[in-house]
Amino acid sequence: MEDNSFENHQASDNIDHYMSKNGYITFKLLVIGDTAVGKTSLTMRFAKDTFHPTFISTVGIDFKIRTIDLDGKKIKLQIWDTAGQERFRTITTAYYRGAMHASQDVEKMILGNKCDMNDKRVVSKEKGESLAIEHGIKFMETSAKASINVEEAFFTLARDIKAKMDKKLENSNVQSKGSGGQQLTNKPPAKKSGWRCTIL
Amino acid sequence: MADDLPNKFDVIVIGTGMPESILAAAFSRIGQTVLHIDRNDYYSGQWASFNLEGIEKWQKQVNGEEGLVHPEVDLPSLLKDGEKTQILGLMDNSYSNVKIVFSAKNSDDVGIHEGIGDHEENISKSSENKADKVNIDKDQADNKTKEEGIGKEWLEKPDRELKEEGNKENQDKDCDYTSSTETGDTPVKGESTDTSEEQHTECEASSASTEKEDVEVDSCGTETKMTECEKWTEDKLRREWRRFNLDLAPRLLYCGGKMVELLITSDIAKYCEFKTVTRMLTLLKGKLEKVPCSRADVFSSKEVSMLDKRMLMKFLTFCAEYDKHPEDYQDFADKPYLEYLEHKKLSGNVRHFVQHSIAMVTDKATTAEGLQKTQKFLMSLGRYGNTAFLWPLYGSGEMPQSFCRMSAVFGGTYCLRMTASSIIVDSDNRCTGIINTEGQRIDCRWLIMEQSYAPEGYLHITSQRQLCRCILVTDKSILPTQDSNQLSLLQLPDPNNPDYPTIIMELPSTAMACPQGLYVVHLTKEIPLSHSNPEEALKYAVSSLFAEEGEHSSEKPSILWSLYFTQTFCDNSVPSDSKPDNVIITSGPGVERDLDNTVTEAQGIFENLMPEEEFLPRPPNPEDIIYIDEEETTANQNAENQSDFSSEKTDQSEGKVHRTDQSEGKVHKTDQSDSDVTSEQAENKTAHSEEKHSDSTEQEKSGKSLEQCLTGDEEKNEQKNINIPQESEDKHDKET
Repeated sequence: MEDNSFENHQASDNIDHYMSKNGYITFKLLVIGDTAVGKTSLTMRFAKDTFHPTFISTVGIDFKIRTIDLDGKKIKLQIWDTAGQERFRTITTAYYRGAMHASQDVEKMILGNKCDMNDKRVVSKEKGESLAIEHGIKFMETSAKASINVEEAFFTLARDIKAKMDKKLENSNVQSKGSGGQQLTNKPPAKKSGWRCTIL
Repeated sequence: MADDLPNKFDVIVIGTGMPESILAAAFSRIGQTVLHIDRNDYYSGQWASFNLEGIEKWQKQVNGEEGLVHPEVDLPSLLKDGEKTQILGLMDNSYSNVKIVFSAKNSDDVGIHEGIGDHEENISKSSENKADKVNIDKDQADNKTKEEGIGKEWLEKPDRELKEEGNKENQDKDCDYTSSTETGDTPVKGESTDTSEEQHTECEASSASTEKEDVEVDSCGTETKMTECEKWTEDKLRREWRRFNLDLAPRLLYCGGKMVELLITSDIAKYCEFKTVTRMLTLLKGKLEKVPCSRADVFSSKEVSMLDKRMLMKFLTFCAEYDKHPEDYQDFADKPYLEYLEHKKLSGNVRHFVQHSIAMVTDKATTAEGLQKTQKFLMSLGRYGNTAFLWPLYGSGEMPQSFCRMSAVFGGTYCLRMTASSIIVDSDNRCTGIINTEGQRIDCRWLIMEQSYAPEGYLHITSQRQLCRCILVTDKSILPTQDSNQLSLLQLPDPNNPDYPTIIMELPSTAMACPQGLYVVHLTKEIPLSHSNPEEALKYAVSSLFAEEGEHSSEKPSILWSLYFTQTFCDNSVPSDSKPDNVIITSGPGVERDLDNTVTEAQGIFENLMPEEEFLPRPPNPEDIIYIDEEETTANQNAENQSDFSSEKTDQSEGKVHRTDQSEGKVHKTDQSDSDVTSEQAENKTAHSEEKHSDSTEQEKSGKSLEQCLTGDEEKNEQKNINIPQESEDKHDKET
């Protein structure tokens, strides 16, 4: 299963965005997916522009940070790693808490990583796309190794979050803020805990 | 799935409760390999928080449904010479008399409007939560200029203030009340009339506010839609099942206590968020009142007479540094605290406040214990606002998980719904490993297990004790005010049984305990082992504060849902001789309302096993972690592997990032690789040592900012969620 390739996985939800003291806006992104699909590699590629060909399991990494510029605004992306807890599907709430409740609408995106290894592809692009359409979220094929679409993916997500947030800010004057995390809660398979829903 | 579970760990930790999770994090943190497992499919064991569905599932589980079973194994093939096994029970038998009741009934006329109601609620909830949220680091910044410290308000402020205040209120009575109550007589009288008037006003105010609520309800009533949205039915509660976080063992944190300290020094605080306990209540003469705790409270309190204010002030100021005046209390040290309070000439009400709301001790407590607890409370005031306690958002079940996250970040392996089916011991009665519930043998050097997992023979149960718990979901606060987000704490003595008071916590929706408009109330009381009916045991408390079923009182909250159960726990369990030395047994939750004893326990165990190592040092900045590719690490590992387990590695690691799992590529301290240092690594080496340096300065910095964060006067921060600081982020900013 290691080297086959395409992963379904995925990325990310923003959570809590808040202005930190220096005026930066922070978005929390969670990277969720099975073991060895390249979560850490994607994160490392994006945060540090590096790639380690061999499998690096994630130790000592809570989250990586990269500050980007969107429409003249500095945005700090906090990209959280699962810390190996995805291995036995035992992710703690400490990982996703803010995402599920605090801020209502979680922005999501599906990434199919390792798209450079076309010969070992296990999920067709069409299948990935239709899955994304089914859940009404964006889909991209990426390669952390070849540095394909990684920047684009994170920027797209960040832009979507920001757009949603700006909209929210506008509305907030009228006291009603977004309608909320409900799309998550209402899903029938939501039995376990929210994060499953975001894995897709 | 267990296929790729390694066969060897330094430490196997069984149970994901509070002490076990702290230990798992502490061991992972210093580079020991940790396997952390739990019989349940959820984290936190006896400390867990559940949503409405989860707690029903828990009830089934307690009743023995869906438990794990022992695997079929070919034992001889798994054991070495001289080894034998000790079979473990797979069930947690701590709980009994579990009963869940939906008192909110379904009615036929629940229409489609409800959905609309829900929607509206959700909207308002979201905006409300938002407004509520505050990061402590912000507070810190705000308060940098303030020099006020934790509890310092009780230490440093000169008594002058009191006098000034006294002068204002009570112009010509600036005399010394402390030495005699007799001279106080006159003022007391004068005051007491005042007070009763004030109380009266207060009464009016509160009834006015109740009225106001009623009015709101009424006005709602004119619109059918709104009435229905006010009405909670079983269906509606069930629909909101996810919004509940109901704790088996609700725990608060003393703002100045060990847990808060540990969260900050270990940087685990970044995983949790808190809300402050906004008021301490007490039941005086059948009426709930807010207890004045801080200086500002005492001044503004309408329940306390002028004389009592002085006495209380003076006494609390003394308590804040009572240990410096041993002569003052030594004669009483072993006598009941109550006697000492009387000796100090505190009036009945004030004694009640001090005993039940500040020290929170029983009638049996000695003066030494009472003073120590009073001081702890006072020293916790002012750090995060006008409160001594923090409540973890989403329930105290979050706390163990935060430590599990830290353990996982440092390489701990997590597996839920798996436990030890048996323990393997060798001929010297040392534990060599376990056979897990999937039939796999896993070796370890230490085995840490929560009490409820331990075989009976491993425990000398010197004092088994029992507590009863009740969780209620109610439709209104026990003491409604305009602010519906009060988080209240109350110790209620039972007049018939003063040795066993009931501890009551009322959580609003902003504590993330329940949907908006509802409250979750936790009641906890120790009962003798001979008792087995938790409803009976808690009857006094429940009937004092809540409406009886079917009673439509506008005053008292109605109970919509309830859970009762009893739980046994062991106090001071002394391990028996048959327990292998390298098996460590940790405690489950008992009667205490905070987590400081648990920290002490875990730290004690850790320091005993790892005398040379630091307990949960602050982790390095994630940006400074160094990656080494597999080819490079393999070489290192070959060297390391010769030593089998990682005792050697442990010596090398100075609490830095460090990977011991042999199977995969990893992060390593660069200093370990001598043979094949690449240029990149050489660079990293420098980076690493710099990091070490900055790490320590950061720690100092954080220590300081902690002091700075103490809010002096308490106005602020009520009602705010607290995020204990994330120091390291600034650093990231600079780097990126």
